[in-house]
Amino acid sequence: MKLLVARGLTKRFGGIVANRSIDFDVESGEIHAVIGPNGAGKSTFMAQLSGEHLPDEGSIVFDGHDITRLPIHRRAQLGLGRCFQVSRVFLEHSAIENIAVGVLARQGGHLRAWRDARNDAALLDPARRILADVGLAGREHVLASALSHGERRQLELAMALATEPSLLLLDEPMAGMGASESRVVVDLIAKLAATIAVILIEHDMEAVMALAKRISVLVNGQVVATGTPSAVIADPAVQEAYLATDHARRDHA
Amino acid sequence: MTQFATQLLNGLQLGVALFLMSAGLTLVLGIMNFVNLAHGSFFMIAAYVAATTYKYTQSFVVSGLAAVASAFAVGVAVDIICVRKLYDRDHLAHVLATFGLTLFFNEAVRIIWGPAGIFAAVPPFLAGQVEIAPGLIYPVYRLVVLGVGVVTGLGLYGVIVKTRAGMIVRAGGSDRMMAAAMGVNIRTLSAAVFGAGAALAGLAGFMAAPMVAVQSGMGDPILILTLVVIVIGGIGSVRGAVLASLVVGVVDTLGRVYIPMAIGSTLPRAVADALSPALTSMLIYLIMTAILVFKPRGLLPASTG
Amino acid sequence: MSRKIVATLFIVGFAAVPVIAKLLGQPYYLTLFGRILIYCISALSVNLLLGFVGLVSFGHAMFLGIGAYAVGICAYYGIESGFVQWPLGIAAAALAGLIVGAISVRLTGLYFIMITLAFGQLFYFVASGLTLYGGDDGMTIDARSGFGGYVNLGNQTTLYYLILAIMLLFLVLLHRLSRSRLGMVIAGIRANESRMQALGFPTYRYKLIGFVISATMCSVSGLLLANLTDFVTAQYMTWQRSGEILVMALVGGMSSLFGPVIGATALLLFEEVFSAYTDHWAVILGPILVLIVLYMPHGLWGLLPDSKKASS
Repeated sequence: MKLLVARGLTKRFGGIVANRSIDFDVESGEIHAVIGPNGAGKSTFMAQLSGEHLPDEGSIVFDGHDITRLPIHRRAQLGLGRCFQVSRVFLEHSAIENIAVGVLARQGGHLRAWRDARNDAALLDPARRILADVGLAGREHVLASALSHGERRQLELAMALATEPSLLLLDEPMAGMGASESRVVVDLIAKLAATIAVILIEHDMEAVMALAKRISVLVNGQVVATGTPSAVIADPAVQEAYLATDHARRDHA
Repeated sequence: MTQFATQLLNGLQLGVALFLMSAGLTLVLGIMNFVNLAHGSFFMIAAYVAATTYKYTQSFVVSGLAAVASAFAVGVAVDIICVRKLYDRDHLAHVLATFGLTLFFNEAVRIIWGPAGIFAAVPPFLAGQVEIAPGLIYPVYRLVVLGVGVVTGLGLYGVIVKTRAGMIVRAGGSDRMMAAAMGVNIRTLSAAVFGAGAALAGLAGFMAAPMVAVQSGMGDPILILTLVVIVIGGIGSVRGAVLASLVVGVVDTLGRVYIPMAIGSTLPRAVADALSPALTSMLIYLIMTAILVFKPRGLLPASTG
Repeated sequence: MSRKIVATLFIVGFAAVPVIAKLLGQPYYLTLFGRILIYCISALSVNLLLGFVGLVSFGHAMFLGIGAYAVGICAYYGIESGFVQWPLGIAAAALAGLIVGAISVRLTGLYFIMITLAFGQLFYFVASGLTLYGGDDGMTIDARSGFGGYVNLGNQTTLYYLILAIMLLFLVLLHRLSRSRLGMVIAGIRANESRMQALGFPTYRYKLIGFVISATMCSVSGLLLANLTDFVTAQYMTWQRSGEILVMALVGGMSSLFGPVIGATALLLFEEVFSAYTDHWAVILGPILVLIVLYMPHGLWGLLPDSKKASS
């Protein structure tokens, strides 16, 4: 069942066409990775899916809803979760408080202005569970600012998971991580894919090969190939695109 | 028709004063990202110095030089003593600190010159009126103000766009770190920009002194108008400041003359009397609000990244 | 000296004012400290927006003015019942807050400051032009809000204790709000708005709610001010007044609940004490404000140790 279908997504900035007529889809329980050289338009593509940019042309249908022009929070409410490239966690709050906000997003009752929510089991119990799920058990009361880089990524993931999304947009989750930290996150994402669909932007090819069921290659704003990891790697068009850009970079260097 | 032309000239002249004030403020805001609520104080200090110097020297030129120099000196001093320590803080800190400075200066001029205002005379060789077009008689002094403003504007344009100093200023605006890495002394730059902005405000104060009441707090209403001009023109944009100053100056002046007339002829007297001062004063705020809603980056946004 | 102790001392001190005033035969103290408490309320309302939602309003005096004029204009037409005046003032401020907020809250940073300034000026000019109700020269209010014999605001001591009670009530309400679900949402928006949107929160709506609550709180201080001074004037709504209220919140310390109370008290007492010695107290206050900004980034309240964990 196709959870998200994007057709003909195009985005221009001034004279530059950042994304050109992109077709893309992802099924429930699938990890579909997007790779490509720097400047290929991956971040713009992500931004169009999440709602930060509205497409100039094309459409996005998510879980049966046309979300092409919906604002960010409406997409999130429909089940589209997002993790940012640079972790956006609440630095002055503890790990569990961070996740509790995500739980609150799901539960509702946002207008309650009198009852104490900081010690509310209805928020803290689910938060504790998610904390353990992402491997941060025991780091409950540590301030987010005191967490390591890798732990902050785990926290970021936990916050997104707290809203119980059906699709997760992951923007370079391995960025800046060492080998052991990466393994933790890779395992986490693999575990997630059982129940959630994932669109993954990554440069770490080891992680991509281990996780992705399908890969789309983005070059100069266009999709040049889509398929299983082994098929894509063997595709001559992909090799040429990567090599060509590699050459171009070397020539101009 | 002549009344319209006269009012138009008055509007342009207000625009010139606003330009002198806003050019400095928008540069400081755009380059140093610093909100300076004490900008009106430079205007005020220059007006006081000009009036007093003229009283003792009877020389227009000397009092002008003294006024601008004193504004510049105070500006640089303020930068060195406190403003430059605040560049890395947020706008709130700027607001609070410069609010404190305004309190200080408003009181300081009272201590030095007394609580009542002082009188600034129009120099005799600039007094009187001249016929610039058949039937159109206009005060000489106001024409001089217009002229000075235009010359200053052109000069400023020349410096910023055509000289190395101007290039450094613009570079400092788009990326302070890069400018520093390239060897530009940021401290000198900030003092120079801040001082120059203060000097421009001082020039405005010097020219305005014979036309307005020179008293404590005279810079406050000007400051508000200047902030409005900057928002309308685009923060950090000198071209925007030029356009917005002229627009605000002309619209405000013409509005004060023609709106009461329009309202008075269509609405009953009591309502007109109550509404028209409010409407005329509100006019430029309405324009600013419209800009913030439809073109939030201003009419001519600065093109820096 | 922990914060809790200092806060308690403050409140006890405020409660003791009428007693001390009577002992020393200085009824003026009631007016002075009543005014201080009223501005504590205004500063608390601005701080709700500032420290909590993260928006700097330079026009909040307009809401104080709406409250004050509600009392004044009603009294002008012979409506002296507080049961009519006060709900009217609060409702008017809520409506004004909704309209002003709906437009302003779309903007951030300096632009938000400027647009709230613009709206503040708008209200000021309207009030100033209403010469029927005194305009800038102001209008005396002949009788204080009547509450049908239950509470006699004509008695200065009674009025003082009512002001104190309302301030304490607002402190309690703000405290509960900060720990509630709504409070968590608002704090999250201030910390990282894009994160909150990505989690599914319609952030605009909550910022607007915060703005309206803040506006309504500020109008209450206006209702009280009109009663305390028996006077209302457009001068209550100038941008300088808005600036002063903002300064009170900042000086006290914006990232705390009690900070604004400290700030308002410190500023107004400073003015009061020093103006007895010299007309030129502002020349001392100005540099002190600058020093506070330079060396006390968390305001006066930040100087005291916080016994609670930073995050709770």
